[in-house]
Amino acid sequence: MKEFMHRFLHNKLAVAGSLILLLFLLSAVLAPVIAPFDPYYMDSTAVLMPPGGKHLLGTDNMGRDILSRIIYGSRISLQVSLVSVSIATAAGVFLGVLAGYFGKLTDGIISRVIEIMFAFPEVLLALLIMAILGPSLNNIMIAIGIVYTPIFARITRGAVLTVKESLHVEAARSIGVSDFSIIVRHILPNVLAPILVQITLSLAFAILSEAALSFLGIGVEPDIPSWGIMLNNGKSWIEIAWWVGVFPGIAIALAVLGFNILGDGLRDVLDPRLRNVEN
Amino acid sequence: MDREIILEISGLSKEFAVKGRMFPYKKEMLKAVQDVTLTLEKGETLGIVGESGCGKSTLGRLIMRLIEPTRGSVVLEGENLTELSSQKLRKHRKDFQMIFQDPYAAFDPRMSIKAILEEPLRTHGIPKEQWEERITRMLEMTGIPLDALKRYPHEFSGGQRQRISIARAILLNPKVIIADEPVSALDVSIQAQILNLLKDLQEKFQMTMLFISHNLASVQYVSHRVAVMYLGRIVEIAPSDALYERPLHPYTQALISAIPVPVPGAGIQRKRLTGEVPSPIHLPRGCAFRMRCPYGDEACAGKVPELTEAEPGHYVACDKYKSAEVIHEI
Amino acid sequence: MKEENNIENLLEVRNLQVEFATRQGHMHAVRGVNFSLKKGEILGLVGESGCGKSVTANSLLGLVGKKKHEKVTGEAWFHGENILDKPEKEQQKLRGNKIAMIFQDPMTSLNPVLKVGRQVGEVLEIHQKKKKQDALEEAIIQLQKVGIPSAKERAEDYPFQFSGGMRQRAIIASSLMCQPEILIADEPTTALDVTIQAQILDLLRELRDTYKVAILLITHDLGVVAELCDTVAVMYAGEIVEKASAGELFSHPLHPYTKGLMACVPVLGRKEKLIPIPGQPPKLYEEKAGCQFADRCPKRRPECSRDTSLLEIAPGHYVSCKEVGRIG
Repeated sequence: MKEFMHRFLHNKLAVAGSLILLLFLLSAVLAPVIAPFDPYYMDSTAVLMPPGGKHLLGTDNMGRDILSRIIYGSRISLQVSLVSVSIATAAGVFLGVLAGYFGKLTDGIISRVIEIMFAFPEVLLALLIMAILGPSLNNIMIAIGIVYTPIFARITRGAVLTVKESLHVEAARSIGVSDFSIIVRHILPNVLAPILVQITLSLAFAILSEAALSFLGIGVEPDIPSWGIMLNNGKSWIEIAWWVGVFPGIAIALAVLGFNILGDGLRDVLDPRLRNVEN
Repeated sequence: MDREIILEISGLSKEFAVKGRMFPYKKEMLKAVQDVTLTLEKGETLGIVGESGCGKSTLGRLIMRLIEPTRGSVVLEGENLTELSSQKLRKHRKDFQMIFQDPYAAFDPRMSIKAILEEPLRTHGIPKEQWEERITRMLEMTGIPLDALKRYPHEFSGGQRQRISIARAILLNPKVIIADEPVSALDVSIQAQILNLLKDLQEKFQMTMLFISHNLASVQYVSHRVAVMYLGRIVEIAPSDALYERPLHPYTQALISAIPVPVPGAGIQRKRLTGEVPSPIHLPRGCAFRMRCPYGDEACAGKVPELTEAEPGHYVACDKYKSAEVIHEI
Repeated sequence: MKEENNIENLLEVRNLQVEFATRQGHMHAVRGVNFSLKKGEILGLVGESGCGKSVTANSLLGLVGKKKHEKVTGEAWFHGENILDKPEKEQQKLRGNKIAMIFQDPMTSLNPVLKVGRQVGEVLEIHQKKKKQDALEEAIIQLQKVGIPSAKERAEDYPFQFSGGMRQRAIIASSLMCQPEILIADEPTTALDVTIQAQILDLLRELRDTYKVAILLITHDLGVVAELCDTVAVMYAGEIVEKASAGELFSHPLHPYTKGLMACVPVLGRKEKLIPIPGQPPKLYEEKAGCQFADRCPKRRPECSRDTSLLEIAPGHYVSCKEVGRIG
């Protein structure tokens, strides 16, 4: 753990990514404190105000302060990505471990289902699920969670297959350790690294997916300050008021970038091949 | 002396299905272990020696039931291990433990030595109050310093790691220990330390051990009896001195003759085995050794020779061992 | 050993030093090694892993010392030239040509996607600019010579179709293609079974007898040394601690390390209890004056911290241990 922290702090990518994400995390937590306006308050006297002055990033077509909406939007984005990726991780790792460790028929069924899900484009699959569930914040988290489950299942299954064959797992079996203990104590800790990397990358994609679905109008309820909804709104005014769409876009890009470079950094930090040669 | 049989292996066989080279869709059977019958007496070390691919490691894993046998049974003190459900088998595992070849890979790299040694105790429900005392005693017996407990496997040298894995294996007082090439991964000057440790522990606690190795000299050093394997079958079993002094099977003779000894010039005059080991997928009919055997002829192709008692306690699977041509050299 | 160009000596290595800069610090892997190799001589370099024997061999071929963190100093005289001083281009010409190498692992030393015959002949295409077809024909002849049955057909096989012993034969064949004067064999039989090892050792002996090629055999196995070598040099912690003819070394080992090695290996038919060498071989990160083996030595004395130059105790028998030097 000490070594991990040391390597993490010496990895420029990982640190840069964490700093960007820290910014978003702070804005999400402290939104009521730092947001200059109520994100829902419509000021009919200040419609489509350009950036500067009282409204730092301008206002939208209903006179709502864009900066405040972006700050509150970070709550939605982070909530959606964290919850949906948690769902995906839990389900995917569970399925992946089942498939990888027990093999045979279990593996056959799980692997086929994963393949079928991979055959659909992500957005199409999410659209399909949203069409069934109906638009709402909870449903979008469930939909994105389902869409990202197969990637976790596949990564976990591959890692489990490798670790399962290793001598220390055989040694544990020869001692009489139960399957459950072997999975929890010997296999999961050793497949954590690739899963952790995938979690950070998926968090980025989940933000994008939420934005995309909201942009398409089947995401969260339209009055909620989600970056995707704001982007959607912005497209109608792009010719006369660019700031309505551009600032939420920048927020999305920045958050995705943060998760991505953190993921890349983590991959380097956790890669055993890059670790100090031990003995 | 009281001769108590602890482990009884009979007709143990393992076939692996492999894809055929010519017709990948056609499964072929690789006969890794064939019809192995052995008994181990209490307090005895039985050595298993053979070249790579002879099935000796598979045999070890079959006895441990880390892989499922195709046929045959392993009976440990009256309990047929091959018929136990996986639940019951787990409970019984404390009675037979394995020491692996690669002492580094045999440990979870993320676990401290303490966690590694506690695992068998926890698994088999040993009361927590006893853990410390038991572990300390094991460390003393295997010559590991006490401060090792909070360290991790990669901090130790190969010899130390193998000591730790021996400690783990004997922690539960198993009835049988299976050591699979326990010194092959170690440096020569360290091998002797581990061989002596195993030998001492065996004598002190009357351990019953199956010692598997490709190195006949180290097998002979630690074992009371030695079984020679060739292509999945046992071709000769004898008390370890008798095997060296009067090897009866032509393969054993060739094996002994091929081992380089530290006496300059000793190797030059020896007879050599020609050819290579045939594939365990397409085994020759009859005696599997006959193509490389200096005495092999048509008669040997007739049937697989059975292990017969040539001298008291000395069994050989060769129909020709008595005939005059099989000269006992050395 | 002092004269500039001993005609008899095909290769003369003087004060070879190899150092590496590693993450863990400065590593002095080879610490002033001297030896010579005559035509048709088989010299065994014995020692445990990490004693510097393989690094010694690799540095002679110029396979070590090219990167920033590697440093090779000393001399290696071959046909009146110091090959360690030569530029990489010239060293390349020597490698596989006049000085050939056989590695331990016959699995990875061959390119898996190239047919064996082509691979064996390849050195001729590189060093003698021969045509593919001619090279292949010579390769087949060479494969026959090293005992590969129906070489013409087997030359069309890929390495995975060869067994371990056959692969090592193919590698030996390719090392012989340019009629080298020196063959460096780094643990050539360690990955093989004993019955196959015996065949390969016979083959190496035959090659020496037929072609008068000098062989530098690197191994950890005293049995292999006794079987094959004329002269033996025992290495410990980057230094040669004892050097003698094989007969002399095995009948009168002098250095406590050599004796220790001999007493700790089980030998068939011997009943005595093995006497292990206590402790671990040193890691080569620290520089310690005097005898490196002193910590593990049963005959250690305060004087052991002094110089460790080789002393000629009997004709041709050199040993670095001053204790035995005094007694002997």
